[in-house]
Amino acid sequence: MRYNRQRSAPATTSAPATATPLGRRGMLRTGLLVLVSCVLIVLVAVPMFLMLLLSFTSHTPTEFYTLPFTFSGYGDVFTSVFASVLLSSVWMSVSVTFVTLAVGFPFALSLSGLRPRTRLVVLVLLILPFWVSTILKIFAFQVILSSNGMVNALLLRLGVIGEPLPLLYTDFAAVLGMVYVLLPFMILPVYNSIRKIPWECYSAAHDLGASSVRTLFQITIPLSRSGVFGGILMVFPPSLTMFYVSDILGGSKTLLLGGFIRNQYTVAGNWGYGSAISVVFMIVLVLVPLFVGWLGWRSSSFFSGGGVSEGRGSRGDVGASSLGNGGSV
Amino acid sequence: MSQTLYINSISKSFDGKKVLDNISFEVHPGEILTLLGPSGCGKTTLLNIISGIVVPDAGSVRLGTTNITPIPPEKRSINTVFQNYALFPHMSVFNNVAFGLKVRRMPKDVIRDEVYNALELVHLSDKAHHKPHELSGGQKQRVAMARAFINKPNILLLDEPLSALDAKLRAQMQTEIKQLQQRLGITFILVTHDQQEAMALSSRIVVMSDGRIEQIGTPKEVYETPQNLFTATFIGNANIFDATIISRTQTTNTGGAKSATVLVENARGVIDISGKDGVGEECKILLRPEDMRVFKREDVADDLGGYMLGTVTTKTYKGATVELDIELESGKTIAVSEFFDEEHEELDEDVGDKVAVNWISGWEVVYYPHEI
Repeated sequence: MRYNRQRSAPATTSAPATATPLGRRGMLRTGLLVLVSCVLIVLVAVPMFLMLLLSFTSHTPTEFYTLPFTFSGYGDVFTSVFASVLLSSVWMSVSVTFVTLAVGFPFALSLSGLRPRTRLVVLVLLILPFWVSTILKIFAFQVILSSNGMVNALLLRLGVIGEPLPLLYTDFAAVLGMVYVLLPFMILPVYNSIRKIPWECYSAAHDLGASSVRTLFQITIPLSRSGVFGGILMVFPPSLTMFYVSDILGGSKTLLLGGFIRNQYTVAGNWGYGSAISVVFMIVLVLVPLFVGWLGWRSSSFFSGGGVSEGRGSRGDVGASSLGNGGSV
Repeated sequence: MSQTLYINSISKSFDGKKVLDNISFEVHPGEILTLLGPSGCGKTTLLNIISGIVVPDAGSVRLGTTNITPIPPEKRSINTVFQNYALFPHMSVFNNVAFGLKVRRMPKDVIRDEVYNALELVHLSDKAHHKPHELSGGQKQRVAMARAFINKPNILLLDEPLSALDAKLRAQMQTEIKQLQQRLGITFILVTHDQQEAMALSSRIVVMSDGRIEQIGTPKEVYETPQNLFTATFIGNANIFDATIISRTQTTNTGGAKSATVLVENARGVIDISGKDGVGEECKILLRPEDMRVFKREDVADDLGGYMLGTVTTKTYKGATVELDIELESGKTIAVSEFFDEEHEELDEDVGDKVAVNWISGWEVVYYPHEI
């Protein structure tokens, strides 16, 4: 919910801010709010509005978009082509989310058990790759996975395989690439919520005779649920839109949602349809996190001010960065 | 059902710093024993050694005839009520209390009955399906106790059980803890830095400082006959005076003195002595505020030599008592409590009044230099 509020807040709160006597601080605050509002309007509201407008335009063989306004773009959303794209996209994203969780949770758990100094080093190592462009890292995977790449070379040398495995241009490679990019977004919120579990809870569980395994399943996992939900929220939606990863590593064999939308703009030249899908997709993308977030909030109302809302808070950043990367393709 | 717990020569160091130094005592079945001391005295470490979370460097913990030192905490029949309760925030009161029984895989209907019995004992049957964050501090405290004693441990450890509660609730919980202990018959070992709490709850108190035991005794023993100055000053208010023996007044058949006159703050007073102490010897005298008697200077008939002289600096009315701070002529400030009784219906010393102070002979505690 904070995700939404961030966007709408400047408009609603600037009124009372100007109403207070304009001290130096008041002016500074108003100035900042105006600045932020302008940036948001230019970079978010205007493009969104244009896309909404485009989604109602018609399509002719010669024009990307044209009048009159029509609903045909929205009618075409529910076609079989789109359905299969949606299905394979969601399937891929679910796999990515599942793998990041399966890898990220144990990672976060062991991270929280490290000595403070070691933990800092690991956290820095985890965040360091952000400084390198995602596209570059994905191309690096191409080199690693290609038939004469590192993995195959190693396996051949070790005699595990007789001929190179077809690793690149598979769904496996696409999932691997997305997991690689999105893993920190799962680890960080999960780590954060595990770290917030009061130490005495473990002592108490021990004191009452619980084994480590029981403590993991009855204390650690339930109490880190908010972080897991936060992680899912930060991994699942971006994974739906990272078409460039499946393009580069999956060889465009499976058409994913992001790629499908892009094709409407660049290949089919049907901007109205592309925009209509984007609008529907965006609405779903807002609703799904809200729903998951609500589930997470309901199941752990103890942490009402904790992990979940933090996950949502920073989710805006993820959206922005993946948008940014998407734009640079 | 409870057994005697023996603490034998326990020592523990953290990072080269000695936290517990050769600690030995025993805990009798069914008593409430309190480990009392300022923070950093090692009392919590000792509690953790008893529960098994901390392994001692030397010494052993024995329960009855069993040496439990090598037994891990989850296998000891000892349960703990943690300082901040450490309730599982995601579980209902019922599931919190049932946790230990579920761990032991008891049948569901047995668990149900036991949990409701336990909740009945702590007056929380109607809160079974509440989450911890819906409970008040006192209720959380009672859930934490139910969760611990439902496992029928030999010994229940309580780590600063009342520190998170406000004064009124604390008094109420003290009574509840006592009643609960009597009903369950389990040995309670309590850790606290609050001497009043220790006095109110314990059958015996272990006074600790710097990893050593200063004194073990009933609240009465510890308060009235503290064995050293640390105990004397840590428990209750204490005035400590330097005194010199100036003459023996009574002599026993064997030639030893039973009482002697001492000079305290330029005043003569009479103290009980043990026998060998000679004239000229120096000692320290402990006097509780209630051991002292205050008179207006003009009301003292003739010889002021038997009184310490001073001026009242503050007066605090406390209902049953009036507490005075009196600055003596030497500059030392002492605390005095006066009680309303048939002799003193009016306690009319006021701030600024010149007063004369003495004490009830025989109520003092005397320390000789070699004992300090």
